[in-house]
Amino acid sequence: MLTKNKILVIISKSVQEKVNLKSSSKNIEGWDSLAQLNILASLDKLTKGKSSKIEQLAELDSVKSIIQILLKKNLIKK
Amino acid sequence: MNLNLDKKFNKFSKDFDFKGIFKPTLTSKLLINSSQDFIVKSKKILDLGCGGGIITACLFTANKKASYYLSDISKIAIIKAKKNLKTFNGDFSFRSGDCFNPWEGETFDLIINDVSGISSRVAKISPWFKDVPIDKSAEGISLLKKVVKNSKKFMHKKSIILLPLISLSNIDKAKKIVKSNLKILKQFTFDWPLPKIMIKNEKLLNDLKKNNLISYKKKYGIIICSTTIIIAKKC
Repeated sequence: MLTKNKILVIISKSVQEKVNLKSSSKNIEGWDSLAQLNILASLDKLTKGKSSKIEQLAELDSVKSIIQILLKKNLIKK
Repeated sequence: MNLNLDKKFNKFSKDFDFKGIFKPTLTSKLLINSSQDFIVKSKKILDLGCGGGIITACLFTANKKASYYLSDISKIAIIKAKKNLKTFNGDFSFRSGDCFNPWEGETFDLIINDVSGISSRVAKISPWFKDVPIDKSAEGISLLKKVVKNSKKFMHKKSIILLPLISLSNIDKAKKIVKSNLKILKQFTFDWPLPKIMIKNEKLLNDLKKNNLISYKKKYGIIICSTTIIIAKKC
């Protein structure tokens, strides 16, 4: 199962900048639509397709909201 | 070669004035990134469909010695590009005009074509073409065709041209046009999500897709389009 740290690594890699729990598309320059798609693709791969079933995920553009929804769906360790 | 032009693009996107002209999109960013291998060795660079001049601005940070030629059909875009590049102190020539018309008799080492081409029916529902000219064909390839067919006159044996093909146009036909006029050296395809604002027109998009006028896929609960950057030279 994924961890919060792993999510931070995935997002950091996609936006090409180190992110933290306060990071979002509003304060990270590289968090554009291409980066957003990379995040979705990476999560899809690591959750074996489970994350793609979360409808709201595509619209979430902050580290906190992504982690919260993955926690709610039991896709990352609490 | 990594010249870190992404960060420059993000900075200029914020700092430059694009009021009333085409705002830089992912296509411009992809063109900049894909041109990195050719910037340093190019002496004459044409920024076709320059808009506010963001492509030249990014390329200039990597090669200050080159001469840059910027043109756009929009006179306002040229005014804005001059204003945005005023402090750069580069060798810039600005001209307003359609396609290659302003550059009769010139040849260039590197041509970056940012003349956008998507289906006119998609352009009308998109957030990208406010107050700017659009491709008038439902296939979205008439501007590309014009650029590709005329490009040879403005290229020498070693010239490189970068062309973006967007899946919101008839990309198969677009590729055929490029292949029959130029020699493709490389091509890169990048996926990107369709803006949320356009998803409410899914029925129209679906109809266009069924008629092979555009292409996209649905994944992760969103519509994913793609842009292919073609790097080509004269046959």
